[in-house]
Amino acid sequence: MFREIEIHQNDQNYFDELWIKNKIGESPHYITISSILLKKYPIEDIITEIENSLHRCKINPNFPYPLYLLHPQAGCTRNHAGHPLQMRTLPIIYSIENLPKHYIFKNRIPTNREKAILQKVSMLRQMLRSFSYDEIFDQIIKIKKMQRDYSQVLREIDYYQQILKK
Amino acid sequence: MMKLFRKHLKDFTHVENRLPPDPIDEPLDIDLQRLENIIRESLSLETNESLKLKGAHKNKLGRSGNWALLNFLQNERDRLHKINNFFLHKLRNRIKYSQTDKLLMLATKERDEIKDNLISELLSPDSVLQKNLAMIFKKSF
Repeated sequence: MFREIEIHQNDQNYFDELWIKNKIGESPHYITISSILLKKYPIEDIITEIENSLHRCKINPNFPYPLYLLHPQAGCTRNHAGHPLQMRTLPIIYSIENLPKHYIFKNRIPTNREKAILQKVSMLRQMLRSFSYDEIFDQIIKIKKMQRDYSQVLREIDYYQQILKK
Repeated sequence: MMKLFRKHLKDFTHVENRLPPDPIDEPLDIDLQRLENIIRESLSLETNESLKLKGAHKNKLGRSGNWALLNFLQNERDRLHKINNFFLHKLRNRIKYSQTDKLLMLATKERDEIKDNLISELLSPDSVLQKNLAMIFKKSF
């Protein structure tokens, strides 16, 4: 089910068109970078450009379907700050074998029953694509922060009560 | 000369008719299937039985492949439905009717009250802290 996208240019407009052309988010994809492009630009710059383009197009690389970057030296390559490349918003893998097995199966013509489920899946997929994930995650982070603060205050109260009892 | 040759030929055909029949023409009592298997095994080829088994296994895989797609689609539908439900209903309700900020406000108020009580108790002359401090001062100076 995984579809491959090969990148030949390191240009913002090129990336924007590429996402639309390949219908990113409708099925799982993985990106490969051409060797000519890798010779021209460092991998870190290409990834930054891809992430900026995804952010601009409001595409989340995890929802509803994942988008991976396939880079063979992902395990040993480090960015300018010395951090490994996995510390990015774009999930990076170093081999096709590391792709999730959930999406790997043999394609064939679906039966009527499967077509009915497929219609439902495509409808849900369209709904999920319409969400603004950046806003949603900002709100989740806000709620998480508030809950942590609440937990901290409760712990403080407990500590003071213990002192008072003594 | 020709006459003599013809006579010998006649004698020879006569003898040939008397000979027992050639064993090649007789039907052989050999299990051809077994022979084929032995040849296949000796040439390290697959026997018919193994081919049959392989075919059955392939059919089984093919059948399971059919169910695999259906199973995947059902799982996918459930997964997407759960994600959709989470983002569309649960999270929205959580944000809209959040009680965390009110609870946090109450807890902060309670913490401040307890802290005030604790300070006032510790500052009183009969408190344990005051007694301990006095003891330390007496010993030191």
